[in-house]
Amino acid sequence: MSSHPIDVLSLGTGVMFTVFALAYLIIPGSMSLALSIPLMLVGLGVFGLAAAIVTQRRRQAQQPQN
Amino acid sequence: MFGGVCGGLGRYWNVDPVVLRVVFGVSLLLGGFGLFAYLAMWWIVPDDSAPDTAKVNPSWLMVGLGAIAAVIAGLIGLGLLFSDGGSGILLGGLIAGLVVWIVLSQRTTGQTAAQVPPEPGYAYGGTTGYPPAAAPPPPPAPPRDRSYLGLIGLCAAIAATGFAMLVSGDPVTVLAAGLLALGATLVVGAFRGRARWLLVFAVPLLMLLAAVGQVQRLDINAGDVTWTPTSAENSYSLTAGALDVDFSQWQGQPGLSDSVSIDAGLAEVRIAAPRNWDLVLVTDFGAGELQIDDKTDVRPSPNGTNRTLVPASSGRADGTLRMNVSLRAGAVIVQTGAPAAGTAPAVIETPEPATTKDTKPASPKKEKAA
Repeated sequence: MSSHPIDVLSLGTGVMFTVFALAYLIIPGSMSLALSIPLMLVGLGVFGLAAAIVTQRRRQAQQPQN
Repeated sequence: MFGGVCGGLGRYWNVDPVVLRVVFGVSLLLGGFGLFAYLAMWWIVPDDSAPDTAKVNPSWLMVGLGAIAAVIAGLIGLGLLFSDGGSGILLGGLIAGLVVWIVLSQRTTGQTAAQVPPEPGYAYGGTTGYPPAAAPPPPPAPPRDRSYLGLIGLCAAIAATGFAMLVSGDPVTVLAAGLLALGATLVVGAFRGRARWLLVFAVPLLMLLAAVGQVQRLDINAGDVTWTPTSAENSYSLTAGALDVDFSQWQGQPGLSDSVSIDAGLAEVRIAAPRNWDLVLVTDFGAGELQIDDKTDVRPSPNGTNRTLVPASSGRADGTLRMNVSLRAGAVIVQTGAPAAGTAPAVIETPEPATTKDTKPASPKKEKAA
């Protein structure tokens, strides 16, 4: 597995799902359906948007070199 | 073929257009999200036959569509977070669209750079007199290293799920263990290898985990139940079913008033009223009806609280019993125990003042009779 620039989407969603899983494991009853699903959607949206912006900026930074 | 969007995107992404057509069709059924995406891309994506097909930068197109999907997902998520509920159909369509975008956007990485057309005639040094030479084929994109991280993470999630099954039979623990493995793999994939496609498994797994956790949170009390209230146990909660309220053990103090409370979901509440007590029914219905002695059909005011006085069937009241019944849907049936139909007690309906509406189980504290 080769290293690469940080993948914002993988990092953000990975942390998000890890936190969700730990919350369900460590503190039973701490999360509810009405909270976890909207938070997941918000997380997907925010991290997806961040990943799109970061990717575009990286491409723009690479274009003058090419 | 309608606008050729699926064909064009399939050629661009090197994906069978049939797959895209199926995805659009499914998303069309799931709330119509795909229709807007299709129309937007029909308008944005350049036509193959047009001479200026390179006006729209493909990377910008992808980023723009992704950003739109991401913003919509975030807004819908915020809307669900701050509202009582949401459209499951819209939610399903949105998630499907988002997952498709994530998966497909991963395939475009490394392809856009190879699609910049070379300048015509470059191979001949710009000489004139010859027709422009055919553009040389673009150099092939460097092959991407095959990453096994996602596969490793998926196998780890399966193994973690199985291990959790052995250690704990709790379904929440089992699902959370799998989600933990997927999340950790995604974090690793942010730095080494690629594992974005695990989102396809992580998203529905979290939804399943949330649903199972929610079911466990519900303290479901359902069935056909007989409740014998006493002064010490004066409130009862029922999710669904039939509830027979038996006052045979009721030992209220004569001359004083007392209260009992019932909070029911979808239920039929059958009340055998105490003979020597005036019964004040305070009913709060979502949808349902109040029947007294199978003959009196009292329709509660919609979305309001009714206060109904049922005098003691014996004609002599030892006291007044206040009974608060909150019912989402169903019926409240009261049997007064009157000896004959002709002597059924009168029913007096008065609106319950909003300020005295009881929302909590009654306190066992005694209060003086009016």
